[in-house]
Amino acid sequence: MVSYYIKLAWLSLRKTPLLSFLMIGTIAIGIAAAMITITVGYMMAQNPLPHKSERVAMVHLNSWDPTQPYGYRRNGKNDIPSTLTYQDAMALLQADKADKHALFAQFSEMIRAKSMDVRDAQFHPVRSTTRDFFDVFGASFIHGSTWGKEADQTGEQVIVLSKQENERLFDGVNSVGQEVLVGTLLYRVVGVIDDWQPTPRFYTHRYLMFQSTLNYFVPLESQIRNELFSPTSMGWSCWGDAPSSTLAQLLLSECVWLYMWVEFDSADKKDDYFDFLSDYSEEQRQVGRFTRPEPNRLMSVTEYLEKEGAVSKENIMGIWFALAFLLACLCNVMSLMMTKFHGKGGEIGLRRAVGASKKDIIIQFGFESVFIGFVGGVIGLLLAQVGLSILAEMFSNLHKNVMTMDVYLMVGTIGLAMSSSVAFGLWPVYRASLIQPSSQLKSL
Amino acid sequence: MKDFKPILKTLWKNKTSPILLVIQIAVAFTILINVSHMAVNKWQEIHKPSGLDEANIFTFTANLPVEPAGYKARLEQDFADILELSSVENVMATNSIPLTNWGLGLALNRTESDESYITYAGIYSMTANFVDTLGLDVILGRQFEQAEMVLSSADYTVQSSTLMVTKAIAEKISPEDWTQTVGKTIYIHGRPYQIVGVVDELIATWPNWLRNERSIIFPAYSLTKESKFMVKAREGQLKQAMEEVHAVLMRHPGRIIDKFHAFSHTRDSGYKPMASSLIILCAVTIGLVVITMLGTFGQARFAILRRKRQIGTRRALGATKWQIVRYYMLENIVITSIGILFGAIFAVLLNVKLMDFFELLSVPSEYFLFGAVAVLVAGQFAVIPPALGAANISPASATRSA
Repeated sequence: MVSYYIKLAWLSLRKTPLLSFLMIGTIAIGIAAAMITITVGYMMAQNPLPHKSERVAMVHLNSWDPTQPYGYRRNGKNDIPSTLTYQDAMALLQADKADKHALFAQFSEMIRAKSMDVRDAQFHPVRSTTRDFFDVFGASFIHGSTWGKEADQTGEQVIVLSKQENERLFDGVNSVGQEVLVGTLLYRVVGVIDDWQPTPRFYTHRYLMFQSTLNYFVPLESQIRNELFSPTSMGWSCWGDAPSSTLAQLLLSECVWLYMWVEFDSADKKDDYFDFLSDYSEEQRQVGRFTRPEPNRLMSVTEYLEKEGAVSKENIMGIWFALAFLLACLCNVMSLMMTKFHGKGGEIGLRRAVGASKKDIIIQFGFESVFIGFVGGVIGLLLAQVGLSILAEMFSNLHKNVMTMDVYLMVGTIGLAMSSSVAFGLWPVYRASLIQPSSQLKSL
Repeated sequence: MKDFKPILKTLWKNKTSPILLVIQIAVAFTILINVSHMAVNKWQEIHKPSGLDEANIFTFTANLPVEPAGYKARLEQDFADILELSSVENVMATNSIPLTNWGLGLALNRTESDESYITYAGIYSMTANFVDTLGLDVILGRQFEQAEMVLSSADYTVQSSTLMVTKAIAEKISPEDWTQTVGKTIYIHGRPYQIVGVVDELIATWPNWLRNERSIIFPAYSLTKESKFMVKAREGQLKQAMEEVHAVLMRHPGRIIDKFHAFSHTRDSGYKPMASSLIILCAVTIGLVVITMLGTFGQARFAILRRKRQIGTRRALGATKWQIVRYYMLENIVITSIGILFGAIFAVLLNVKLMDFFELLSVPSEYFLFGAVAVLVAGQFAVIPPALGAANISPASATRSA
């Protein structure tokens, strides 16, 4: 029976090619527009660490200038810095109260494999961090592993590469034990991580959340010991009489520049850690620091993403515009269906006269609208892919993960097309079923 | 006008398809008004003047491959080397390059207390020659004197006691008369600075910041391992100057040059996301208008199909072709106007929402007027082909079949 109705729907579409084309095309365009914006919004709002987003948290300390706030939140309240001073970061790291600590900053240097020609060196940003970085943020190793505990203390010159850069420097072979030149310093490769792009890249500033991950990782302590410092490209904020020319001065200053995340074995430990932070700032207050009133913050991944608003207002607005566009398209399709079914009055009358019930007519035309929705959905899906790749081209500053549909979205696209086609087909189908056999047969 | 009554009557009798069209027109109108307003805003934002002589400027970051004690001498030598080139007109170093999204912003206050907040400003600290290199227009007061310019490794906000502001800042400081700004003192982090001059325009480093015409300049440059250079080439010699400067600087071992771009490139990449959204906004609008016109076309055809006999009868009773066409054009005007009416209401509601969202201003009333005219004209275009078809229905068709 089903195949019979599908055949009828197909024949009916063939009979009025222009109308069918318009209906399918209109649905396809509406669906494509809606799904493009929904894809971008949905991918931007992903939870990048689903299994532990409540156990991983970012530390914000209020070490800022007593005379004025660091900035203002969207709600107009005073904001506090989201990065730490070196002395505070080190104090928290040494206290070792959380289960894992990921502390990080960055610098830029010329990088090449030791065996490469000096002219093949490339200028790259380097992530300087602690050994738990990869574990906390979910990067997995294809060769080797992260550096040992001692390296975080001694600043041993060891480096972890991304798969992509391992390709460039070592043709993709297992490069553990090989040597890399960072500027003029020799670093030994200890690990290579697999392709890794958390979307959003939640652990940095909101402006940087949809950019690619960095390709080189070294112990923070080695950056400090070697005075590697890129004052004109890293993010840092200072207040008061801030020194600004060398890393050594930066370390002693009240400038904030280090991001700090902590991981707990269980989410319950978060409260204890927050108390520890409060005690720490109280202690510091005794020596004249931390004099601002705003409290410290310990924000889980989800809280931080919410605060920073990974999905911009513009994306949300885009989704609404596209849905309105879809609505306009669907009204159009409905109107086309009315035309179509009206033209079929004779056929309906005839079918009714030879014994088809109203229900049969509804099923027959219901199938037709499902069919239209399905074809429109498939074409819409293709159009959306084209649209997304154009978008990826246009917004090359964003990582292309944001503009890639996953399986759920693809199924959702077809589902949305079919369900909206049926929903907007209901009324025309119902109207068609009301046609009296007698009225039509007369005119045949 | 006597057509009005029958038009309203028929529309009322067969509501479904006119209602669908009204919804489409209302949605289209709502979006058309708001999107075109946003698009115009974005367009203005993208084409905001930077105050720079953009066509002849290029910029780059280079390290100073010496020990910190030698930074000053090295930078001055680099300047001298670059200035020796015949293709170069001037050169300077700056803490941040306009429209690159990396720089410092600070709050300006009227007094030492931060209660007297004036505005937030983009901060530039530049070496001598910046007025010439950038092609700035000093419209009031004076430039910095040679003696005021400081090159040292301390923080620049600490070293200077004077600064220059853009006209946009001057207007915030003295809203009643911005020309009174020169000589006034403003406070940053509780430290006083005297305003010595006003430049017409100098865009801050953030393309997305709506107030990016608000910048200030310190006469002090902080020496660090890396310097951001801005070079002005002689008219028409940009390409040559870029090659020569690169070659001159690369003579030093250990030199790293990064982000070496003509300023036009910097502008394009800074505004690329905004330009892309502008294109998308336009595409959405055009798509919507086309879909709505298709809808109008379809609705009119449908209506005519159903009323074939009625039209034939009217023709048989003596209606001219023009009267038939006029009927459908009028019908379309009625439907479109209802759609526009609803659309205008939604547009205002949406605009209120968007205003909190994006710091947008309310949509000026011309948009509604032009939008309404545009939608009406588009509707008429869409309805004419089917209406002409209707006019060609022969009177005889009325008599055929029951």
